[in-house]
Amino acid sequence: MGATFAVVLTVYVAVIMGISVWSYFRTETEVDFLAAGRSIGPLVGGAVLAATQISAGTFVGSAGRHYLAGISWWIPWLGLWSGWLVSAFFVAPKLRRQDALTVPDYISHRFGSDLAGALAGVLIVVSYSIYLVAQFQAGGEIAEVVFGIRPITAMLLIVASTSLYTLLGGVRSSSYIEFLQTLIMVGALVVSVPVLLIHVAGFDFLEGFKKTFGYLSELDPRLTGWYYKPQELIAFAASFGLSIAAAPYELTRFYSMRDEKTVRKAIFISIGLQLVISACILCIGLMTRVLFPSLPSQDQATAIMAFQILPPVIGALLLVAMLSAIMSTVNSVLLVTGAGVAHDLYGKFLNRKASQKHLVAVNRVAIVVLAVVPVYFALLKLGDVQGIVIEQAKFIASFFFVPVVIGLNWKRGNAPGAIAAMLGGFVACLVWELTWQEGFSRHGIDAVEVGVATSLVLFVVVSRLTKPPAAKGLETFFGPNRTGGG
Amino acid sequence: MIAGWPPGGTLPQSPLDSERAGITDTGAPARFRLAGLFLLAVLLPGLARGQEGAAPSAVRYHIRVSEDVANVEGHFSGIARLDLTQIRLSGVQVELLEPEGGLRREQENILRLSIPSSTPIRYRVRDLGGGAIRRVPLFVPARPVPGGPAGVRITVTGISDVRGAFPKLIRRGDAATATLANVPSFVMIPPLRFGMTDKDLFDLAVVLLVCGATGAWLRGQRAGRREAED
Repeated sequence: MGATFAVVLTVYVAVIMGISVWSYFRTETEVDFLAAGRSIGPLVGGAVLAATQISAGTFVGSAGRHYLAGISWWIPWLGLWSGWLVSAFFVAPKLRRQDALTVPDYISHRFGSDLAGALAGVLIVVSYSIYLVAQFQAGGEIAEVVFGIRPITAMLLIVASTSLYTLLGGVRSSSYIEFLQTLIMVGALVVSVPVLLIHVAGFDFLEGFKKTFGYLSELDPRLTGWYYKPQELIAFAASFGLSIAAAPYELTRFYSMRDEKTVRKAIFISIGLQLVISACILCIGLMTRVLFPSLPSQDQATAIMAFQILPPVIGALLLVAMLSAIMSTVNSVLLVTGAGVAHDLYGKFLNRKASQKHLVAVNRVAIVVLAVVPVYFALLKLGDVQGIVIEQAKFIASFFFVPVVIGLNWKRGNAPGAIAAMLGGFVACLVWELTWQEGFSRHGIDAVEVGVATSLVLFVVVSRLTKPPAAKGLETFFGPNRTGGG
Repeated sequence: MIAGWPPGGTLPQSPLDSERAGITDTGAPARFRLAGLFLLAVLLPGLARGQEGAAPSAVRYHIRVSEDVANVEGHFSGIARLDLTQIRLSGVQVELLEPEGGLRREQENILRLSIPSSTPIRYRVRDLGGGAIRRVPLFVPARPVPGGPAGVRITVTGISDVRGAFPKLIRRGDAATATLANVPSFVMIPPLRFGMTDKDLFDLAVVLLVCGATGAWLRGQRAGRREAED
């Protein structure tokens, strides 16, 4: 595996660096850097959305949860796809009408308040830094299992390589690299399943599935039944669905696509790819449990499978795909958080006269700083990878779902309402997490539900009690569509 | 089925249940720390953790293969209670030689065994088809094995080729060994087809597919460029 992995990794790194350098020479303005000159088509766009969505949380975390909890962990995917559909029909088309660069741009424009935009920028930086913790932790797990190197070394390598290609080409290079990553991810996952089946029961694949199901149901009946209570699954699904419908790192990618039609097509292509990926991840989690029933950490399941079970080339491809998934998500998050600092805070509040080149430079510095801080928290191992992803999703849903989804579809929502919704949702989610979440098994109410409900009530009540929003900000989203995108 | 199984009259716990409290939505401590992460945490120096030193092997298996029979010997140390499970593979028969005592429960897909930790296990695996033995099931402790990356050592003798084996075996003289952190459900020694293992064939197919797809894409790009020039 060592030599094979080195060859596969070298080829992969050479290709992505080639794309990055190519993009670097085509990046001159902020629109180029943050929105790829609005040139991305549906196929690349769909693959990019899938690659951004399929992170370490999926490869390491979801596969690990299937290993730990069995089949029932698949249900949260339904919540996730519901969130994508909400995004496709109620968010993406309207959001893409505005030629914005970041989601705080949308908040500022829609509600006519730079303060609301800045608050969104700050909350994005905080929440997505938590997300980066999960990505780095996953990278550390893989490195420890497969290469026997210290997690800190692996994390710093990921930071260095990802920052480099993010710095070089911004969204343009990311988009093409993520298209490639999606192809590798889907290919490696699809091939992994028959290899695992051969291990379980030879070439009789049906027997392989039967054996897996029979073995797991005898090992622990919950693995093929209900490991989690229904209210737990609803909370997981709600966290994923409500956050993805308004996820800044996904929404930002809409801005790089040609038009509304392209965005909608891209979302459906992305859901199709995710369907395939989720089925493969389910099989991988279950069959790895058959082959290694007592792993010390479920987060090791995929890495051990790639290293011990798969043939060298496929194993190396899957490892590269996993590292790619981590890198693509880190890359997307860094673009969003870097923009939150440079574009939404620095450019709008600290130095309004900053030139385009100056803003791009500030963005690049912010990316490096924001990449390093989460490494520290990743080393603390505050939970399993999927657990950290869920926590981050809860916060994103709590402060963003209402201003984005309801804000795009309810004219009366205004700036005070949006500010109250974001702050209230975030605080309610945080307070519930710190206090009453402990009694979840008794009351069955999750922090995400409390956060979103608080945010919604505040948005409606405060908007109703204050002046209606100015017509200027509404025209883009509620007026006739003039972009011609459908 | 043996009376008194499962111990305490309840189903055996999932090996990772103990971790569950700390990793799901209902796990308060991890969530508590995480939720307040960026608001409450104070940066403390020197918390970066290094790799733990490798402890001595906790589980050792020695498998002697001879045509259609494999004799297996397993030793477990440093594990307080030995609740073991073994996957029941189709086409092979397992005859437990030692220990004679212990609690034993046979299910359709799993053989469960509960024994004192110091007791070695000896059993014989026979291929029911009379062919060469290809898969040898192992008893897996219900809890993760201590000992880190070298916690488990499996030695196989009596085989000529280790290519495509699961887990990965390294040949050392007459024996082939695997050193790993966890006990696999079985050891697989796959047959060769045209001098290649099934894994080699998969790898070859993938390499051909990637080369073919790249070639087709390059050809399409060239054709597109030619069309544009015309």
